[in-house]
Amino acid sequence: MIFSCANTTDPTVGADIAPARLADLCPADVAERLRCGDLVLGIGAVRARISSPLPELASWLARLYGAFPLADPEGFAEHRLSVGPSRPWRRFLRRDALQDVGLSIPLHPVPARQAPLALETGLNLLMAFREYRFLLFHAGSLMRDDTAILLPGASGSGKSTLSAGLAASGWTLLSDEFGLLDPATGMLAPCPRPISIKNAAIEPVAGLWGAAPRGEPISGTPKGRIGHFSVGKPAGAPLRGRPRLIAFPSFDPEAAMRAKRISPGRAFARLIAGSPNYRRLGEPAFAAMVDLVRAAPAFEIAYGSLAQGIEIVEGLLERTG
Amino acid sequence: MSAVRDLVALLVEPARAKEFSGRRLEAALAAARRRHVSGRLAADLLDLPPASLPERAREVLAGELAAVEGEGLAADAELRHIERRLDPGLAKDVVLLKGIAWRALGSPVARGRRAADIDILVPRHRLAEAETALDRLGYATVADKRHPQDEAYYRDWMHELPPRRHVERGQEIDLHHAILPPVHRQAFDPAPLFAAVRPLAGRRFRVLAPVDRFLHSAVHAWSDAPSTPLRNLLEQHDMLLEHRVDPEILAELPRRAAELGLMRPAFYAVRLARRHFATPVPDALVAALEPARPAAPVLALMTELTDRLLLGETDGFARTVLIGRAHWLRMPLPLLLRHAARKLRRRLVRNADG
Repeated sequence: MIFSCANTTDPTVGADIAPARLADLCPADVAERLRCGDLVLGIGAVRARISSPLPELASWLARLYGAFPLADPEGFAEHRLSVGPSRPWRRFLRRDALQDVGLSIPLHPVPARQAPLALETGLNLLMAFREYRFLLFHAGSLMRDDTAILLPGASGSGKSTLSAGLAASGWTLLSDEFGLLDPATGMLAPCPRPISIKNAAIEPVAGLWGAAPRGEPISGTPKGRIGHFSVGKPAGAPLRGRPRLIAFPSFDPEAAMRAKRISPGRAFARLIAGSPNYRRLGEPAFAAMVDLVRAAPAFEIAYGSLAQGIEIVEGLLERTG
Repeated sequence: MSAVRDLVALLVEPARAKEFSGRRLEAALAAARRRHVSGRLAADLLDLPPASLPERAREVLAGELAAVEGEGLAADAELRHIERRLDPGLAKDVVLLKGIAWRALGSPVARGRRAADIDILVPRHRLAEAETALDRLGYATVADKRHPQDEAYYRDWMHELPPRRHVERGQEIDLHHAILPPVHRQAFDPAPLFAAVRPLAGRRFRVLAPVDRFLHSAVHAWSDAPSTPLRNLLEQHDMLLEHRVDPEILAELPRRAAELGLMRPAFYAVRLARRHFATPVPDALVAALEPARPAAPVLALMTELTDRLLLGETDGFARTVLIGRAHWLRMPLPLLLRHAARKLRRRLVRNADG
């Protein structure tokens, strides 16, 4: 190592007031903490220790995660992610980035300019394969007052775009990639990472969230161009929302606006098909699922514009609420 | 202190968690996850008084344990499904191995232990029948092992068939007909194992005798390529503790090891368990395994390699050497060279194609 890490347990270091948010650190401090594994971010109900020697990540985190709370580096974080060069020389020559999430699955390095993608997919992998406190669905989730909605859907269904739209019209984003259901309480928990928007959807979302922190769109990924948006003040760790509506979105510019009620059983089957950990959580997960589909009516919704999507969701809530 | 040493310290004495900062606990849990013993660490730490751990760590460990248990229950259910559908004559010749066996026994070894796969053993003359039955139930050979050469490798030289997976539910099952590959230097006729199997209350399937369960674990870890060495050693430690109350079993161990020609792996298992987990073992057992002690330089080398494998943060070097050793034990050199050459040729052809 060229750099050495200061021992942060030195009592004189912690003498000032601990920084509350990532934005309270100067850029050099973010880079220093990242290098030393001292950067622990609170992402809603989830806590992640992120380490990396790459300057690309320091600036990405400072920009997109500035409003997220910092946790004590000497405390316990359930997720650990490090992103670094795939080989020692790749730090200097043909620089690249590979995430280490402690899983024995094959991962592929990306060019250093796409390092933020390694970070974001690394966090997705950790959620999918290491998060067992919550039942996870491939879904967006939002809340307003004490009402929460779940927008399950595969990649490309438009759930992220609809989430960004709802977040711009009075809703608080709970999560984009994965919806987190607490099996003990049946409530949705937050993990409000920046929303990732692909290709043609980037421009409309940029129109809504022009002033919000956003990442320079990353091009040349397997899914095309990806833009990240930090939408609104991140939901705090204790926030929980009671799920009142499940809407499976499908965006289709040609389609007429419609909502079709689907049975609780069908909603159950579709939700668990998109759950990375349902099978492993066993009976409590089953019981939580039964409660969820009984309490929250489920619809397939189709819309041709973002405004229509928001209108459908609001309409369904009024009708069923 | 390295995270792995912390992990071993916590497994030996969970109460030491009180002295650990949240960060140090986090690192030990990460080390446990990499070594597939996080469920066990969770079970041990959750037994402590609540104040011994940060609240967040408790919640995360509870999730960890629930996930391991959920996976185990799914494997149990799958196993009962198979048991009900097999011909009763065949079913009584099926012997459960490893994780699923400890679960069926309710053994302390199963505590927090992952049992993702189902491992079963049948006598060689039942193999074809068992295969057909599993095919019929929807357990198909996994896609990447369907190459004829892999098939031939497993069938001719291995002690198990290529792994199978249920086409819908994804449950993996390994069908064995022996404990070691027939060409392994320590290979033995598994007939005595079948002769000594134990029944399970209310079930058709059976399990190996206690000493044979221990020897199976020891052979798997110390005469073959260990993919999860720390977990294997923990099993051996747990079994030595479990049977400490039954001196007859421990007295039987060296006799059985000698009978099956497995003194060396038994020696390593007991020695390494005492070395790393301070397992209390009767002096008589240690003395009885002494004849299997290798020459001093060999023992020194194996100690160094296994220490690195078990405790190293990065175990690349030791793992490579021990995998080399496992292959050396696994098959005679000409066979090994033939196997390696074929694998290499296939890789080159695939690269040229792709």
